[in-house]
Amino acid sequence: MRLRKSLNDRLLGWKMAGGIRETIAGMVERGSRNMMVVIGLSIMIVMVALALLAPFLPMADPTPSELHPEDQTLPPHWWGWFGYNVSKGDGHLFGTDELGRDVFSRVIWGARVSLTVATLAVFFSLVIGVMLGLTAGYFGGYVDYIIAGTIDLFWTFPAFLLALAFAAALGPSLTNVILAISISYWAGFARLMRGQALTVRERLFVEASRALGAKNIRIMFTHVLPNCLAPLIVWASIGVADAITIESSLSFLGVGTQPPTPSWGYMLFRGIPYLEEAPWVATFPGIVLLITILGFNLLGDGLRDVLDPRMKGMRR
Amino acid sequence: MMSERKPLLEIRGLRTQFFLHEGVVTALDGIDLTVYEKESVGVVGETGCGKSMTAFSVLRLVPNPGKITAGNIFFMEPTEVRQRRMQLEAEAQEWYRRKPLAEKKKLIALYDFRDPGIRKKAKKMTVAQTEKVVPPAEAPTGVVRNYLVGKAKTMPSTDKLGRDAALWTSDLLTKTIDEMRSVRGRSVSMIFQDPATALDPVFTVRYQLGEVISLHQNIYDRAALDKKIEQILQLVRIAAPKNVMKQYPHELSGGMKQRVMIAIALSCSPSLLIADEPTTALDVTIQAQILNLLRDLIRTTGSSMMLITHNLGVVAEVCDRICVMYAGRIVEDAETFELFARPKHPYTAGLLMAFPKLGERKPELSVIRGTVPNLMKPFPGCPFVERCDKAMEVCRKERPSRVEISPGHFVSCHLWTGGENPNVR
Repeated sequence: MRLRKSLNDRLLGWKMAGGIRETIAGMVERGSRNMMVVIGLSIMIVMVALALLAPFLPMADPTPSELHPEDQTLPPHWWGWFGYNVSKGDGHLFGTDELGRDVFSRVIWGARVSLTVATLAVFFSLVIGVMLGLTAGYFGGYVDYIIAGTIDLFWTFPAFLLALAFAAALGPSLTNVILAISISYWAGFARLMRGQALTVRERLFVEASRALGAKNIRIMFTHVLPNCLAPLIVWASIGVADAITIESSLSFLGVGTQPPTPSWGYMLFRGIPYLEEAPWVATFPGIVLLITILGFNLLGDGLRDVLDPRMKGMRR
Repeated sequence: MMSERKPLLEIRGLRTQFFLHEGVVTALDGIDLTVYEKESVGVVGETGCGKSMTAFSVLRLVPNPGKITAGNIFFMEPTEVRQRRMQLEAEAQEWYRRKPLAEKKKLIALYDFRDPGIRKKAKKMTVAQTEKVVPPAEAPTGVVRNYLVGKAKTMPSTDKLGRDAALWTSDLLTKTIDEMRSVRGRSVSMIFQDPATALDPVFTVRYQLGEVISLHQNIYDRAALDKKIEQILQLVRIAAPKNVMKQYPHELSGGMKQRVMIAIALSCSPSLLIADEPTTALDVTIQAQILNLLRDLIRTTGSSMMLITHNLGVVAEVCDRICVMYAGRIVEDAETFELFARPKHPYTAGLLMAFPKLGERKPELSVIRGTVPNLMKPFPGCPFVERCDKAMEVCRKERPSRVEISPGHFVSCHLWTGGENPNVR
């Protein structure tokens, strides 16, 4: 309470300065009151921090050069509390996988790969999608005809299939995975943005700002885009989750990240055959994946409320 | 008295047409309207008679597939240039008049029916089509323009005034898109009908005001901008400008929003303020406040106003002069008192009759019978003929010309072209 008060005081001083800073300060203030944002952001911060700090954490090597057969599929040591026989298990928080590698350290290291790929891929497809969708929706006419046609062309293929084709064509590497997901995923953003822009451009304030002498580009970015942001953010947060899934699937099919590099999806798929005798191999990466996706979705939902100025002053 | 004042906005023969699949809709058909400096002009008429289209045409914001196909909109033209231009145009008319019929046809086929603003090649007419053209008595805008441009080429480059006059540099329709953009908001500003939707819901009042000010006046310093915004908000009588600045449109009441809209429109002290039904979305008490505010602001800032409304009470309160529009034409143009006391056009008379008076109870409200004609069909005569009780044979055939009955009182009606003094009531 005390902390929030002092934070608010500081923000108030900041607020007086006005403009974009005021908007951000207001958003931070409203965000701190929104439970969904707080939880979602906490999860994200924890995940990102773990991923960043992975090399410094006291963990086993995720990709040991030599494998010990006696370490294979050891259960997590704390499963003993529930009556599980863990006589061999020792110090493995999430147990070990079928090759005897520590699952916990692989999950943490996997976060680096999965988060990087997902956020970058979503960022790139967001940028492409917003640019094209905004242009198409705002200008209409032939521009719209061409861009909407392109969007539909990409939209006809399932994002995963397209990503698979691109990843296969480009060759397996992390950059190519990002590229492949971006190329296959932008159409959704573009479609959403176009639809939003189509409705917003008909609104009176667009006409008003044109009557007050604003350029098209200015109207597009300062009036149309901010009014379309809410669904885009939600879509992006779901997109991150989607991108993680696509990346996992690509890794599983061998066109994504290559085997020794840990990635959540790859771990999941490798754990599936052992689900009966060693459930921890697949379960823990799955749970972490679930929590991360949940975090992103919560953040997206919360941000939608926070970014909507009509929610200002409301308590949730 | 009229001629002494300096015209700020001079619309002449403005024709705006919409090119639809079904045909051509003539939304504005030869509007003549002059707004003098420090004058507020009311434009009244029924829904769809072209009031708002006049405003959008002035700002060159006619929505697609609309095009301005003829006419001029002279704005802030220096007096000398205007005089010179009048001379030149008279010359052009004379030149056109002397042409033989065949050449007139050719001229019309070549240079009429084109957007004077955007230089675009007109469709080439075939010889047979050219034959069918009926050349009007007066040279249309496109032909005059063509003559004047040719004339300007022969002028010496030192004759700046002459070139300005001949090339219609003050005509908003000859301005480029960039020039037009700097006119909008800075010299000509517009207030919209519905303040609830005319403000961007995602930005604070200060942002939206600041955007316009920084756009046109290049003030980027935060403190200076804030001070300016506060002053403007005080000008439109907002009680706590510092608080309102930080609020979003949805936090303000309807009247406050309209004040903010007015503030935005006036922020760059425009010479002409176009108010498109500024009080329609507001309740009666707020209407009165907003109208008083508008009137006072116009007086103090010394700008002119074009008030578009369908409410005769509103114009009576605020405007010096009233133009009555009907089916894309201005049928009557007179000073407020004159118009209310002595309406000359049957349509104006009908409008005034239909306006219920307070404290008077009629068994039946009087209406003007019939409906507005279809603007897609071209009519040679007066557009009001089907609804007019005083319609004559000539009304169906000939378009009434604009007659000045008494100083400053213009009417387009065949009743008045004859010379006798009929009773229109």
